[in-house]
Amino acid sequence: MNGRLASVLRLWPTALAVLALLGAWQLAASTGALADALGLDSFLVPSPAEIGDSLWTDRGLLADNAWVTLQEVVAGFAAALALGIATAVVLHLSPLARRISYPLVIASQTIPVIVIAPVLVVWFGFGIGPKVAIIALICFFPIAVNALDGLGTVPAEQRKLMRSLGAGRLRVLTMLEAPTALPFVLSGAKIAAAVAVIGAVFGEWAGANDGLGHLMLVDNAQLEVPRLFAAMVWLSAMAIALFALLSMLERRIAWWGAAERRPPGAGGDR
Amino acid sequence: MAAAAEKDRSGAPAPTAIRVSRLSHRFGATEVLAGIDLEVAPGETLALVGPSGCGKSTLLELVAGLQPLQAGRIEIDGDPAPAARTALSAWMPQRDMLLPWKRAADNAAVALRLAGGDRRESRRLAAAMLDRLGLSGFADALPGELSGGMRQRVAVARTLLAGTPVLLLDEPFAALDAITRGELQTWLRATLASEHRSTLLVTHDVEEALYVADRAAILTPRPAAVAAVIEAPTTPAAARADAISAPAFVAARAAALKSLGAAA
Repeated sequence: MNGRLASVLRLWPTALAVLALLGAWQLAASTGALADALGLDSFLVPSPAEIGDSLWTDRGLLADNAWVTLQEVVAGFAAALALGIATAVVLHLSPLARRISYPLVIASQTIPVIVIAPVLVVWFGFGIGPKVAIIALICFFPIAVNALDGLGTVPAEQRKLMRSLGAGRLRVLTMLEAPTALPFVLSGAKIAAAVAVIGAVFGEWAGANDGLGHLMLVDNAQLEVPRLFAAMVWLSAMAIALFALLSMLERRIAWWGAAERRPPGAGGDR
Repeated sequence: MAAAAEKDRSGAPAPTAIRVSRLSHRFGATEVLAGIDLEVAPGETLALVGPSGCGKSTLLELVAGLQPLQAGRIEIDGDPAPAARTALSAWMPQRDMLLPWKRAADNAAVALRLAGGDRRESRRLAAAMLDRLGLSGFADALPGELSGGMRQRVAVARTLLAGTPVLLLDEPFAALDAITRGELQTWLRATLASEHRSTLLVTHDVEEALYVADRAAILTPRPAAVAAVIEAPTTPAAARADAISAPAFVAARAAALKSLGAAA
């Protein structure tokens, strides 16, 4: 069967499920059944059609704020990628550094971001700085841990082989360990991409003049519930797009890992 | 073979490529090597034959300077320093360990690239080596596209291209089926004959040892010691099936199996 056709057919159940869900929601919301069941006024429970309407009529406002949030997400994600990989390399190369700072890496993930966000705003001001810092903080952990695990999957025998062929420590890293870790890094980056937008919202809630998170806060106060949901749709779309971009990159530059996650040379006969 | 004969004629010891003396090694409480003495002449191939798990692989890694020495002495070209032994030898582990993201020629060229070789030139040399080893047309193949036997050849090419005077081959064909193994033994024998490198070939197959190597050192089960050294019969470049059924070969194999049995 044609591969493209097969993948389209595979998407059918997902599409049907989403459509069914939206249909049920629309029915429940437009008849007022959902609001009644929740004991709410019906304007607090938007239907998919109302959200769709807001997506269209507020498109300029949503796009402007989405652009701000996207910049924060991309900058924060890039910072996390650089920091995460650098940390993993240092911890991989130095067992001492690993013993000392691995607990700190884990501790970084336990920081309650919602609490620290206002402090960061006080430190760095209302600009993009605190948002980038918060996103980077959230995204850092999955990237660093996956990169470190990836670097560690290289079998000792393989490292010995490279040494026997004349490689020093640095060349073992660049020629063997880094490519081996690449699929792992991309896996971590995909997890980070999904949570990056949440970081942006936290950052904007703590203090911002624009961005989707800020817009959601305003909508919340003004009970503009359909637009609040519309902003969420934008956020999800952003995370999905980033995730898809990374998946594409994975297939392009780390194809050997996407197909079969295993250390190099472990393959037997084919 | 030539080197061994030379030694007999002159009566004086020929220069040694690899000299292992009183080598012992243990992992924790387990003694794996017990006082090994071995010599390999320049250009000679010495097979190390012993039961599985007797410490042959450890011996090879010690010679390659990839594991710290505990007791005894190892020299390559007279130099005992581990770094020198690593530089003078190329080690081939049991599994091919090809990098799945590199094409066959790039895998074979790893040592050239590590030595600072230009990418294009290294690839060209590697492709020429692959041609010589019967893999013409596969320079651009990825490891995943090659059969087990082909991958093993690429691994041998990678080892040869390291350009070192000493080759350390650890059961290079153990993972292959019998037919492929037989073919590759013929092939390795011819390759080694044309290369003039000093080679230690670890194997648990007596036939492979006597067919590919000049001499075979029979090792005892763990802790390994040299039970006997058997000269391989000089079989002319005949088909493998003829060579291994020649009376001299059959006699040597019987002697080797006997000392393996006595050692066990």
